[in-house]
Amino acid sequence: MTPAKRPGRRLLAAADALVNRLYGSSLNPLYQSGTIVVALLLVLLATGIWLVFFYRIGAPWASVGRITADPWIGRWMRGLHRYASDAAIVATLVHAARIIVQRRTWGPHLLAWVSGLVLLGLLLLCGVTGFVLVWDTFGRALAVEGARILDALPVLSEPVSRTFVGERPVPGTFFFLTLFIHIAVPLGMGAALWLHISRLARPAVLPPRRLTWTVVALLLVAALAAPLGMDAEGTAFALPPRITLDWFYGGWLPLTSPLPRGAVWLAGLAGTVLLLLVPRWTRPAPGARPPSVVDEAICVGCWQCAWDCPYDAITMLPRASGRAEVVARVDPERCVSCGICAGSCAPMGVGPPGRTGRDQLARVRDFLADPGRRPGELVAIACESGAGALAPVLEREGAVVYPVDCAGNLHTSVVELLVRGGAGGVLVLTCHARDCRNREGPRWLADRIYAGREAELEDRVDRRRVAVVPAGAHDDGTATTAVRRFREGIAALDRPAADVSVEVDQQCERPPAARRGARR
Amino acid sequence: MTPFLRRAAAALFAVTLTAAIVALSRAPFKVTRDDQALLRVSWSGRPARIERCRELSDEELEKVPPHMRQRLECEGRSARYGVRVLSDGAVLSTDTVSGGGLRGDRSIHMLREYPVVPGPHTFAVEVARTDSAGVSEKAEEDAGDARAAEAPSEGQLDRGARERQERRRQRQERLPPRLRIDTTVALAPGAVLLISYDPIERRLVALTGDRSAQRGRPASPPAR
Repeated sequence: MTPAKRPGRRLLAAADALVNRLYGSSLNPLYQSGTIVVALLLVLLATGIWLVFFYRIGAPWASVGRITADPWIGRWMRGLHRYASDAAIVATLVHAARIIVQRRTWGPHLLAWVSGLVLLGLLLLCGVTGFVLVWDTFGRALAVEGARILDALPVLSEPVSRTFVGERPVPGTFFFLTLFIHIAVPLGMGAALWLHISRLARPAVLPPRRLTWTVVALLLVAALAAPLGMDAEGTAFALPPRITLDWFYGGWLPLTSPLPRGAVWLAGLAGTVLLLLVPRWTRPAPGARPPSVVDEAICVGCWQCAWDCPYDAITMLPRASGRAEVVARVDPERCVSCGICAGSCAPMGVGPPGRTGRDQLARVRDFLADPGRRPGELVAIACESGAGALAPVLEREGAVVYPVDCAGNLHTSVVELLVRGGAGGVLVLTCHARDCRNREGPRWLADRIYAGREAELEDRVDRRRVAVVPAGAHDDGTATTAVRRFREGIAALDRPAADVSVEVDQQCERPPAARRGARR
Repeated sequence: MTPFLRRAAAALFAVTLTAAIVALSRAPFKVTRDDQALLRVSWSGRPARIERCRELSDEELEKVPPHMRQRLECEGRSARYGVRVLSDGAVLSTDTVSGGGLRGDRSIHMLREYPVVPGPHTFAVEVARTDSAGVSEKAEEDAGDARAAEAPSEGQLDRGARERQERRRQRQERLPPRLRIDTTVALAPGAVLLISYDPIERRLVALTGDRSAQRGRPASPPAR
C-alpha cells in the first residue's frame, strides 16, 4: 500500500484538501498545528502574567471572582487565557495525529516524538493546576480526584486526599505549591520545546503572522462573546449537583472517578506505553529507508546538500586529498532518509541508496525506453505521499503519471531528460509547502527549477515545458485544472525531437568557494 | 465556489470550531444525583504502642555513645484499631486499621465516604483498640507518673525523668483505647457530614459546613 492510500493518510488528506479550499495552503491551520501551539503558549504566557498580579493565594476563589467581575480587562483576559489553553490542546492533538499518520515518529524523529509527549503532559499539568487555582467546584473536583489517584502511590506518609476533607481549611501552602507548579511548568516546557525542534534545520516556530492574529482574534471574540462565569466555591461540605467541566483538561474526571485508583494508574501507564510504542509501529521495515550515503569520489564539497538537509544530518569535513577541501559526511543517527540531498547534489554524489540522482536517471531512462511512450506526452511527476493518489484523475486527463518518493528528492536532470527525451511537458505535482513529509522538498525544488538554486534546471531546458504545482492527495480539482492549463500552454509549442541518448550535465557550475554562504 | 462564498464558508468554519472549543470548555456536567448526601469518616491519629520497657542501669548506659543514651529501652509495636460505621443501626462498614509506614509506627489515616439518602439519620462511628496494651506499659506509666511527681522542677529533671515526661506526652498524643460518636442529623440533598477526630479534646467530632466547623471546632456537641 502506497503511503497515500493508507486510511489515516487518506482521511488526513481529505481534511487538508477541505481546509486548503477554505483558507489556502499557506494559511491552512492543519499544516500549522505545531506552530499554532507555540503561538498559543505565548498568548498564555502574556495573559497569565497579567492574571497572576491579581491572584491571591489566601483567597483564591474570591480573587478570581474579582478578576472575572472586572468587565474591562479582567473578564476577557481570563477568558482569553482559558480558551487559548483549550485551543492549545486541540492544536497539539491535531499535530500529534498528523505526525502519527505521516509516520514521522521513528528513528531520528524519536526525540521529537518523546519530547512532544512530555510537552503534552506538561501542558495538561499546567492546565489542570490552572483550574485548581480557581478553586471553584470544578477546580476542587480536579484536586480531589487527583489526590485520590496520587494516594495510590505508597510513598506518601499522609494521604493527600485528607487535605480536602474539611477538617480544616485548605492551607495556603497548597495554593502556593499549585501556583508554583503552574508557573514553573512553562519553564520546563520551554526546555522540552527546544529539545522538540533541536534536530530540525530552520525550524518554523511560529505560524504566519496573519494566521496567528486570526487565531488570537477568534479566541478574543470568544472571550468577549462567551465570557467566563464563576461557579460556586469549592467546599468539602457540599456535593455540587453539577460542575462546569472543561473537557480538554478535565475530560478524564468522568472516566477515572468510578474506577479504583490502581485501575487508573494501570490505564495511565498503559496509555503512556502505547504512545511511546507508536514509533515502533510506524517505522518502516528494516532496511526499507536506509540513510543517505556520500560517494566521496564524486562529492565536490559544494556544501549544498548540507545546506538543504532539513535535519542537519550532513556535515562537511576536511578532506585529506582530492578535488575539494571538504567532503560531505552523513550522520546516520540524524538522517531520516528523506532524500532531499539527492535532489540538491548536482554531481549526484549523495542520497539514500536506490534514490540518488544517478538512480533516478537510470529509472527515467527506463521510463523513456518503454515502447509505449509517445512523443509529446504530458508527464505528471507525482509525489507518492500526495498527488500520487490522483493517478486515475491525471491519467483520465491524458497525463502519464511518473510517481516519485518525494518531489523534493527530484533531481532536475530527471526533468531535463524527460523534456529532452520527447515529453511535451513535465508537470511536477508536489505536496503543499507546509505539508511536505520531508519538510522543505517543494521549496527547494521550486528554487532549483525557477531560482537557480544549486543543482538547478539547466537554462537549455525550455521552462514553458515545465511546471510545478502543489497538490495533495485529494486536490482532484487542482490537479485537473493544472493538467488542462499546462496542456493548453504546451500545445502551442513546437513538438520537441526526442533525444533519449542526450547526456545531462552533472557538474556544479561554479567553484564552491564562490558560492559558500550565498545559497542558504 | 465564488470568492465570497469561500470566505463566508471559511469564516463559518472558524467560528464553528471556536464555538465548539467554547462549548467543550464550559460544559455542564452532572456529578451528583439529586437524592444523594454523603457521610465522610476521616481522621488521623497516632496509634498506641504495645511495648515492653525497662530502665537501663548506669553501667549499661555507659556502654552506649553519649548521644544515643536513653534510660528507657522499649520494644514493641503499634496497636491496631477496629472501626465500625453505623447508619440508623445498620453497619455500613467494619475495618481494621493500623499505623502507616513500613513498620506500622506512623499515624493512622482513615478516609471513607458513604453515600446516603438525604434526610434524618443517626450515625455512629466506633473506634476501638483491638490489641490490648502490654502490662509493662501500664506499670511503666504508673511508675513514670510517680517519678515525675517527685521531680523537683522541670529544669532539673535528669535524663530518665525527661524521657519519662516525653513518653507521657507521646502517650497523650496517641489514640485512646476506645472512641465513639453517635450523632443524629438531617442531611439535605448534597450535604456532607464529616466525622473526624479532635486530637486536642481526644474525641470524635461531627462537622458540618458552617464556619465554626471549618475552623476545627465541633459544630454540634460531640458525643462519646
